[in-house]
Amino acid sequence: MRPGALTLSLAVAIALIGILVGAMLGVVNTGPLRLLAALLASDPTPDDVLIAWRVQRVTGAFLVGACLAIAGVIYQGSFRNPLAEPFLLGSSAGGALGAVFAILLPLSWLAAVGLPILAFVGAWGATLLVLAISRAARIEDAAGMLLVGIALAALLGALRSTATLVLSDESVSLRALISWTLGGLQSPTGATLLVFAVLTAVCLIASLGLARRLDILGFGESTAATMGVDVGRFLTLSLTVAAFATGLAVAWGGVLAFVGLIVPHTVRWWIGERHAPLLLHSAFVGGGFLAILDGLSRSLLAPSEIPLGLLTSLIGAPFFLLLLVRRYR
Amino acid sequence: MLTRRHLLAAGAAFAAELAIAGRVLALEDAAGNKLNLPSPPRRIVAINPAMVETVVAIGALDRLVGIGGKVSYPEQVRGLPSVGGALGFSVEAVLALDPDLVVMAVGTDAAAQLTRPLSAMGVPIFLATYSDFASILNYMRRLGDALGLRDGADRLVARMQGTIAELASKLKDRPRLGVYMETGAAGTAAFQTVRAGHYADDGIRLAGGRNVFTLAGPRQVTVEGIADADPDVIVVLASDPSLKPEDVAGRPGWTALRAVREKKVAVLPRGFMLIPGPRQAEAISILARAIHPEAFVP
Repeated sequence: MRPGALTLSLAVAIALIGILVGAMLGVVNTGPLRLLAALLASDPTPDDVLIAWRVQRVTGAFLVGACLAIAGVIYQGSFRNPLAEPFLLGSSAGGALGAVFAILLPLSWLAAVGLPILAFVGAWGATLLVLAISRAARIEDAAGMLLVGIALAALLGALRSTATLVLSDESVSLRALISWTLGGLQSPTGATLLVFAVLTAVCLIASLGLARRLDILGFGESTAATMGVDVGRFLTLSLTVAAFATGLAVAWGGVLAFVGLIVPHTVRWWIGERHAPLLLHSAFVGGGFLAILDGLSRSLLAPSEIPLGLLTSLIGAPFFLLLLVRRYR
Repeated sequence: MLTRRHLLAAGAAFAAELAIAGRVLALEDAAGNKLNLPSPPRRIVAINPAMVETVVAIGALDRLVGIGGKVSYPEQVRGLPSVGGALGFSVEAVLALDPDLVVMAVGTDAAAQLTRPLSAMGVPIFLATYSDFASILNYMRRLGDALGLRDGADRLVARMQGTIAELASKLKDRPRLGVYMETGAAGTAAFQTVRAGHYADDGIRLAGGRNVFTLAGPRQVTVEGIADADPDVIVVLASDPSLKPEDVAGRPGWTALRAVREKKVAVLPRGFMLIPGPRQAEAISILARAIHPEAFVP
């Protein structure tokens, strides 16, 4: 289907339905009118507070999904590799290292800085480091950067394991840490949620600015160079944006594998390869997808919370396989 | 260049060989219940905090020759040689201490790494298995048997049971309050709780409470799940000593919880509350004070 007003409305509808369904699902399922009443209540009852929390959390899940989808599209376009995903250049290893310190170090100043900020610093910092090393070594092609990323991810993974072993004892819960690496959706509220939403919008706008050059890059690095794209500089720019989006997602959602892979591909099959519409549609669809999964994670085995990353893979992978089989048949 | 560390490592290896060649020890089963030691052990290595505390509490501090790297209680054991722990355990460091008994808890890193190699070397191993509170007392008695200090173990168990009985009499007229006990969290999410069958679940019961989450219940919950279970009291076991009840109450959405609104939130040190050793009875009385503060007003 050619992208246009119709497909974009559909994508926005998926996003809105995703947020609505996600917010309706919970330990006690809630109708849409009740959601509205709770959000507008001037003197909120405990139930209203709970529902408002749920709506904010689902909105957070939406933003995390949007960020991962945006990052996925940029990574796949930059590396011209359909297997590229947001955690490629050390983002998850860096984010997890930050989370280890936030969870395992009983320091009050650290608690004030908070898990999201440390996770963001780790996730974004790791990729910036990959880019800096690549620059210093004059590695300008995607394959070379990938290898730098793999090496750095291994190093950061080792540091994380070391920190986990050294810092953990009876006083900390390793289960909470493991759960975070399977997707630990934080609950941003009020101003924090607003900042998160604004930063996600900035990511989307920045990524749209990359779209034309991503299209050109699709013809190959040498063709792109003859068409006036400085490939090395462009990769640094595009990967910086993608890593920022990934960092945002890690900060608020933990490590959620697979979303950045499955959403862009599904959307690509739907509306085609051009990057501007692909980014826009993926952001909405990815957000809606994760919002629904968050609802399921809170309601399927209620009152248990299923770590979100388990669901993205358990539900997302068969769904993706189904689409794949239908497409190739 | 040969450093001091090289020399120590070589010494450890040499001592290890001596330990194997010098004595012939009967192989033991690893479950700990059929421990046939030729004589009461004189050189004990105890690894997990609960095991070290129990060995000391039943009166064998003077026989302790090595401990795990993360043990800091009681004070008297702090100078003892460590056999590792932060980055894994060293079989050689254990053998270098020439132990005639190694005490570990089932299911821990130490047991996973050391049981097989030490058994192969013929070093007797006491593996403590525990789940609920009664099984903690049980491994203490059995460890007492193994050390030839059954009297000491019986006294320790009696002391712990006495603390619990004292609690029971203090709490006998109190209603059994619903308790949500949190054992871990990642930021403002992934709240971990305890299930039935765990000694902390027994602890809640012995402290005059009722775990609001049951056997088939969750291990990870959201604030919605907690609200649905509607606990009377919230007990957060935290590693951060600066965490305050107000911080817990300030988590997003937590004002929806009745216990938060009624200010029935307690924060207790996780490292103290979740060590399944001699101080568990004391931990349970601290928990009781958090659940029923009014019962302890003089």
